[in-house]
Formats: sequence, structure tokens, C-alpha cells
Amino acid sequence: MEVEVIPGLPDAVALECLIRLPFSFLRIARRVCKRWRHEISSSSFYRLRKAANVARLFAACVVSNPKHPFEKWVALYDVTEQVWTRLPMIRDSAAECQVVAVGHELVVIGRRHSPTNLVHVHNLLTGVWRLGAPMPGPRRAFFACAASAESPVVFVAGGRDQKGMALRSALAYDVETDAWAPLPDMARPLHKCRGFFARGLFRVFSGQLLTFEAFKATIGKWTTRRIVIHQPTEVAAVEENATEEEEEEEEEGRASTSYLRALKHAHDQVLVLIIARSRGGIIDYFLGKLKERLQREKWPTPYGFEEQRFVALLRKSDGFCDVESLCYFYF
Amino acid sequence: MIKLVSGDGAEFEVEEEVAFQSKIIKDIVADADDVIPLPTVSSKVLIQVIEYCRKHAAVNSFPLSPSSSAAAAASSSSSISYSKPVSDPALRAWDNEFVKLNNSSLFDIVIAANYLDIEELVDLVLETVADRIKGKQAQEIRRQFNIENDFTPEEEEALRRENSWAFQNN
Repeated sequence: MEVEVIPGLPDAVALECLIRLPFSFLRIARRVCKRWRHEISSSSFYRLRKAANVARLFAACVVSNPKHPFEKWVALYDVTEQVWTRLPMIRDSAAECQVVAVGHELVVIGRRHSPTNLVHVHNLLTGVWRLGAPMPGPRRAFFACAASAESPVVFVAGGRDQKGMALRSALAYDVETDAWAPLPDMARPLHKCRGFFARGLFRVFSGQLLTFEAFKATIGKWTTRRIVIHQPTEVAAVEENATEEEEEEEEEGRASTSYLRALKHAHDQVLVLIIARSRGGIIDYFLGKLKERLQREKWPTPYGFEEQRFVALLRKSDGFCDVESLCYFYF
Repeated sequence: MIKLVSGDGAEFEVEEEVAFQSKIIKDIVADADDVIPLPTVSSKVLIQVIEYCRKHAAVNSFPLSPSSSAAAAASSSSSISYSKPVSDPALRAWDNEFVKLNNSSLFDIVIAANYLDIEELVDLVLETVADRIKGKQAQEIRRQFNIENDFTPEEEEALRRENSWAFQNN
């Protein structure tokens, strides 16, 4: 007979205890005994967490040491517990990486000396990295990358190739089958772009344009849309489940310098994603906000980070090249 | 009044609103009589569960105090709601006192609460047990919960290395 998860408790009840452990503690919990390790490492553990509504908002950042650009790691921020966790160093990884969360896994895509972009996948349940199938096609830099919460697929679009040519092409990576598939081309090439997924659309933004490209996976088509406009002070939370109709209305809005999207958190903390038209980008602004908040609210200093590193990153933020990637996810 | 009979034959008369904290009892009473045998629950545990239900029934039936209604208003304005924390600070303090028990007593209560389907009590105990696991080292967790370490020393060493990056080169 299998050993009990917690002696004296029915397994179903004991598992309900384990799913309530914060992410930062799972590393220790996996080492308690084989049964715990087995339970925590299985994908049903993630499903249980979501079903019990104990999943929390996280931000994942690819962070590099500005003095040693190849020294980099993924930092996770648990917004509820306000705790930073540093995932192991990504060795031999790219000059610039994109991070995307897909279910209980983080996908980091980047390039280095290899002829293609490499894919590294981190399983948050087992704490282990693995290599995924490399991205086909030209070695891509400054591309847009995002995943929806519903399917295990990462979408990639635009960027530039090794010769500096802006790209129109797009790809999809299925994390479960570890397979890449081509998508239709965008209407125009987009260089230095950023992407995110909202309301069923993979949205690709480029800093220089007032429009963005949106891909609807269900019909497999790209459309060009106008950028939504808000004053930076109007950081109203945009509901992810708003209807298509509302969205159309919103996209006819007035013009301004930046596009804002806020993710509202249960504790009324608002994390902001901004794509500025001029300099900087999503990540620059996020780090800027974070730094202010670190100082103002005395948030715990991120594990492994020095405040100066934020500053250094920010100082170098004249383009996308020196800052790394950020994504939000629930775990 | 509803009569609850524990596994060891003790009878407890409780008001409906107290007993109805348990969804199971509510369902049973809807289509049966008012004497409810609970063969798997000992009287010791049943007394504790009734104490919890009595407290929560009393608080839930009174109008919210100004502070808690403000908290309720604040939480309802938030667009995403997560677990349903007890909003009344006094009740939360009472709950914190209630769970100051050893592990085996807590386990008995959560098993009974799970059986009786008292959702808030189940949540309270689960959170408490999770809190007792949090922040401890593996060895300490094993000791506190009587869990056997079934890893070999080699496996333990491998686990320690597990979180370091697996790929030396590409």
C-alpha cells in the first residue's frame, strides 16, 4: 500500500493542504518524501491549485547582469506573498530572451551563437529545466512573443533576422508536443516589437506605429487595429473578459502617447504594462514602477537583485535591446 | 432543534442555524427527521465542531459591524475574488484561537468538517496545516507530521542538485 501524504489525513484532504503552499516553498516540500515529490511534480497538482482558487498572480522577468550580459536568470515575483524567487541561472542562453508562461511551465526563447533561437522550458512543479525544439527559420531578435491562458501554445511574430531585416513571419510553438508550426504572415514587417495575449487575440506592437497587428487563433487570421488610447493616469483595469463589442468601441478612442493595460490584483495592487511609442518599452516601465514601489512601500528587495541593477537596466533603456522580458501568470 | 448523535452515542441538541452550517445536515433535514446519527464523528470532535458552528452561525446572523461591512464593500469592489477570507476581524481572531490544537486534533476536525461539508471550517484547517508546513526545512516537516524520509542519501544529494541548471552546453 502506498504511504499516506500526511499520516492521519485522507490523501484528498492532505493534498488540499499541499496545494495551499506558496510556490517559493515547493522546492523544500518536494524534498520531504517520495510521495510529496510525486504529488507536487504531477500536473494534476497545478489543476488542483487552479480548481481550489489558490493560484496567485506572478510576474516572471528574465534578468541579466548589465556588466555580464550572458549571466542571466529568471526572477519570479509572487505578488500576494511579495516574495522573489530566483530560478537557476540559464547557462549558454541568449543575448536577449523572451519569457512566456504556459500553464505550469515557463518558456524562455532566445538566441546566442547558435544558428537558431533556442527554447528552454522550466517546469514550475518539478523545478527542472529542459531544452525544447529550437525555433525554425531565421535567427530572430526583438520579436513579439505571448501565450494565451487557455492553450499550451506560444505565439511568436516579427522581429528581425541576422541581417537586420524586419520580419513579417509568425510561428506557433506547442509546448506539450514540443513542435513548431508556421502561421500566416503579418500584413507588414515589424521590428522591435512586443506582444501579449488578451481577449483571444495575440497582439503585436511596434514602438513606432499607432496600430498593432492582432492574430485570432480560432480563425487563423491577422488584422491591423488601432492602438487603444488612455492617458497614463487613467490606469483603469481592463477586464480580460470584456466582449469583442466593447473592445471595438475602446479601440476607436482618442489618441495619446502610450498604450496601457493593467492587471488588477485581488489586493488592489495594480501592475501596469505599458508600450510606449517613443523610447523604452513594456519592461522598462514595469521595472520603473517596480523600483518606485520598492522604495515607497518598502517591498522586500528581490532575492539576488541589487537595487543598482534595476537602475543600471533603466539607464540602458533607450531601446529594447538591453532589457529583458516579462510576463504575468497565475500559479 | 436538531439532535446530532455522535459515533459514541452522545446526543447534542443544536439550533437549526447552527447545524445548517453543515450542508450535509441541511440536506438530510430537508427530507428526513430531526435526529441525525453521525457514526464516524466522536463526541469530542463533535463538541468542537458544534462550538465552531455556533460561533459562526451567531456572527453570520447578526448585521455586520461597521468595520466588517466596510471590508465587505471593499472586497466586493475588487473585480477578482479569490478564497473567501473571514472578513470580521473579531471572528478571524476567534478562528485563530480555535485552531490552536495539536495536529491530530486538527486532523480529526478537518475529517469531520469534510464529511459534514462545512466549507469554511475545512478551509480554516487546511490553511492552518499549510501554515505549519511553510517556512520549515524538510527534516522539521517530517518530524512534525510523522513522515518517513524514504530517500536514499544518494537521492537526497541528487535532489539538492536538482535545481541547478541541467545543461552544461548546447
